[in-house]
Amino acid sequence: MITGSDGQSRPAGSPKKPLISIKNVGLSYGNFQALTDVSVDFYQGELVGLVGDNGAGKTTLIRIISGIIPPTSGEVYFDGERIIKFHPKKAIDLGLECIQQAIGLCDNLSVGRNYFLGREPVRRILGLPFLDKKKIREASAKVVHDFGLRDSVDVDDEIALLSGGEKQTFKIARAVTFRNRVIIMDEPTNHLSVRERTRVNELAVQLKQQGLLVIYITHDIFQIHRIADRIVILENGRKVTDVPRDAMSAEALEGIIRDGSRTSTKEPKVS
Amino acid sequence: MRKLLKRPDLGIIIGCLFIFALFTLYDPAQWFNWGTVSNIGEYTAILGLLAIGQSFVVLIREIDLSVGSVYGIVGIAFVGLENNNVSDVLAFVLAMLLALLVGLVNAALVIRGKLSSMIVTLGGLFFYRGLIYIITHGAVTGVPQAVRQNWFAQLLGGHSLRIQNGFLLLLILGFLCAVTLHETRFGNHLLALGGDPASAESRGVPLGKVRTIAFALCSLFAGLSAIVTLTNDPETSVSLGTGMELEAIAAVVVGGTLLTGGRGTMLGTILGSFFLTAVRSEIIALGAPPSWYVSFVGIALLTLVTINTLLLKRLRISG
Amino acid sequence: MKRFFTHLWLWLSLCLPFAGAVFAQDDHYRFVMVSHVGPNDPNMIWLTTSMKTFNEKYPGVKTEYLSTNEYSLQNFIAILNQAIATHPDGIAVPILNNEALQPILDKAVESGIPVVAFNIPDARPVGERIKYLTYVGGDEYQTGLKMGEFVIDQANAGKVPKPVKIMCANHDAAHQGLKARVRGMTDAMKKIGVPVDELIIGSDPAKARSIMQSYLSTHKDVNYLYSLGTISCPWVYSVADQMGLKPKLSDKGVTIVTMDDSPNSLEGIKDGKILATHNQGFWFQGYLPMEILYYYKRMGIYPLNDVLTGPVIINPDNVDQYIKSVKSIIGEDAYKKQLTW
Ligand SMILES: Nc1ncnc2c1ncn2[C@@H]1O[C@H](COP(=O)(O)OP(=O)(O)O)[C@@H](O)[C@H]1O
Ligand SMILES: [Mg+2]
Repeated sequence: MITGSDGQSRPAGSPKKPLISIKNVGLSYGNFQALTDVSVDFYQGELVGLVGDNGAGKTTLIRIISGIIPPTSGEVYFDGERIIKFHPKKAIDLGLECIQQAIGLCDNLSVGRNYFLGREPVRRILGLPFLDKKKIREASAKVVHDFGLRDSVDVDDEIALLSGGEKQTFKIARAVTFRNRVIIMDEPTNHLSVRERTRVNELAVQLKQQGLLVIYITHDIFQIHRIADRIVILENGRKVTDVPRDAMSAEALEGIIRDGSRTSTKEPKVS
Repeated sequence: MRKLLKRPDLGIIIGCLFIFALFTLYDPAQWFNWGTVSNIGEYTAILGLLAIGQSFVVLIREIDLSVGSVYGIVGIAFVGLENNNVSDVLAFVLAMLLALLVGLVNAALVIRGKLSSMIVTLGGLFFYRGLIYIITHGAVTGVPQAVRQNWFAQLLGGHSLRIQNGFLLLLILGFLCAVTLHETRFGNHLLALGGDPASAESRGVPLGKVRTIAFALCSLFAGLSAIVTLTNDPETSVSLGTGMELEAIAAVVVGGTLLTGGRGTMLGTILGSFFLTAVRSEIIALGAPPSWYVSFVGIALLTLVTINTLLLKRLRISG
Repeated sequence: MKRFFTHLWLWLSLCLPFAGAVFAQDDHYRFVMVSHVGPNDPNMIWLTTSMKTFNEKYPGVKTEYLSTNEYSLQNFIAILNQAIATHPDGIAVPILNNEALQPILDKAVESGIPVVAFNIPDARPVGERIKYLTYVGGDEYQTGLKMGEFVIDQANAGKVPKPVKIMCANHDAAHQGLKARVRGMTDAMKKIGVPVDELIIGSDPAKARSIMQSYLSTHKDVNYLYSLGTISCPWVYSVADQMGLKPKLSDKGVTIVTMDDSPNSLEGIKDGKILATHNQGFWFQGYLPMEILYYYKRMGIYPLNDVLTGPVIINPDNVDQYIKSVKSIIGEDAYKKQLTW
């Protein structure tokens, strides 16, 4: 384990330069301070568990990283470059994909259209751009097949017909095939059956092995401890823990979360 | 077959077939009379153009209550320019620019002002009507007879093979809008925004741009509808377009577009306009007490919306 | 801007009661007409012009015309309340709504401000109705009735076809006055056994045209079209014309009658498109309430009966005189502008 000058840890062997670097970020929703002075680095090829109680600020941090809201203070760097303009489209263009439980799929659109939503392929007829429906159908059918979704799934069907697990798998599949560099999963296994959950976790590990940065958000420390390389714990909008998985047991980490929710700890317990 | 059953406009397709059969059986002489056909065609064109514009807005979960007044003010601007010896093409362009401006203002207030479109356009409904009163001092003349004979006015308001050009325009623009909605990236974005704005945004759909275009199209269609009407008919008034917003919304809803956005077709909207027009016309013609037809049209509307809802539920259950 | 003047006037007049008390022994009265006939309404000029004429005759009296811009009962009541608060020597007011205005006006009367109703009466019998002195204005029911009787007279004289069935085109279903006109027409026609239909056409011209077309396509026995407001008379004519119903005035085809002495109605008669219209005496409605208030203040006298200022039927025989007087009041320019034929 290498400990950086700023007290953050990163896995041995990973390149020195972080892919995403959060520096002293704060965010307030009106009067409410959702994040306070959070600094954390994420490196390519690692699977980071972002853990914390409900309301800790995990989703808020992710919303900043994926360009949905700009931070009130602090800086965000992507691949060494400071992000000035925060916009979801920009994050997507940088190869960052956020998979959230509730959003990402439009129930009224077909599987194929959801697959390409925001980057629809077009074909010119008389110089006018029309959706390339053939490509949409073929590419999305291939993905449906490759990621082991039910054979009965027709890419022309509305995505609302898929089960929760299928939708989650589909979102991950979509994220992977668009050659992303960062995949963020916000509570990806909520409401999923045990089998579906295992499948999603397997996918997360595969993605990391393919060299992607995976940020995996959950409040289930035991689940993430099995697969993550590093665990970051948020508490009341502050980062309280940032350790390699091997440095602490799941039980010890759970203790931090449990205690933290009783007495808010200002200083990181472990660094 | 399965595809057909899933269409959001299935209800209105059935409804139109039903009234067609009903009126054919009940009084074929009246129903297939050219006067009836052209009367229904003429008003379907006016309402249909308004409703197509409204569809874009309803599809993104918004509503535009200002279209009746916009129809009025754009129409009156067009007539006013004509009467001041502006050439008809230029008058058309300027009047449509006014429509575009109104649409952009609506969009800006909704997007930047973060106001509900219901409030913004309700304000527009009163504001533009009030503006008509102020500008006209209560009286407006129609498009002069001579101007209505010009090629341009004839193009919009004349006839081809006895068929209203306005009606042909409705079919052509309806087709183009349907293609735009279902076959282009913009259409896909519009449907996505209507289905689930947060998801659409997370995929990089430019929500502001899509909303702006939807509101602009809505106002432009309202203006076009007014000009098509005025190049055909001489009558005008400061009350031009009064109440049209509700008819347009009714046509959209009857046509199977959900007020919750994301689902709907242009075919449904056009058929919805036809349905409302035909039902009203036939109820009056077939001798319903003349002051009662309004309620009958209301009942037809409710029946159709109920059918739409039932079809939708059945669909959800059967998957 | 108008509102600004309203306020300005109110502020000024708040200071005036003291001044008024000094002059009141002479004939220095201040009368206020609170009206729903605003600047958008072509009839306003009749009221204000006739009040000016009154002022020339009685220079000691100060008259004020206050109106809402658009029809809104709430705004109207607000203006009325403000006007009463300034303690004028008399008020003229249309009874837009019995229930809403009763408490306000009865209180004003009790506090010593005489009230004259104009344009719209409180239809209840004296004793029950609001305690105004008298009513000056038209009568909607009489308007329909007289028009019906005129049509019957003309038909009997062989100038126009005998009525077979009448369609009343109503552009505002919520307007009680229009309903009363239909009742009047219906009662007139009852005497000769002619049925009367009321068709709600709405106020959008294209929609109105479509509705009338549907109706006329099957109700082929209808040969009289009664346009209940001047707004719809060109629409009615053009639909009838396009359907080949021969609306031009003759002893054949359909015949059209309408309402009001607006340029549209008058020119329609002049062109032989319309048989008749009516005048409800707007000039009197501005002038007489002022005069009644004046003599009530001076001498305590007032007409016990309502003063009906209309309807007077306008037809091809007397239309020229009305065209002349309308032009002289509203001006040649405005007359042309209001023509929408
Ligand atoms: N849009 C918002 N407006 C106001 N407060 C918010 C908003 N979103 C989240 N919050 C608040 O910010 C805090 C952190 O929320 P969140 O980041 O969603 O937590 P987590 O994902 O860790 O459960 C919570 O207290 C939440 O109530
Ligand atoms: Mg969360």
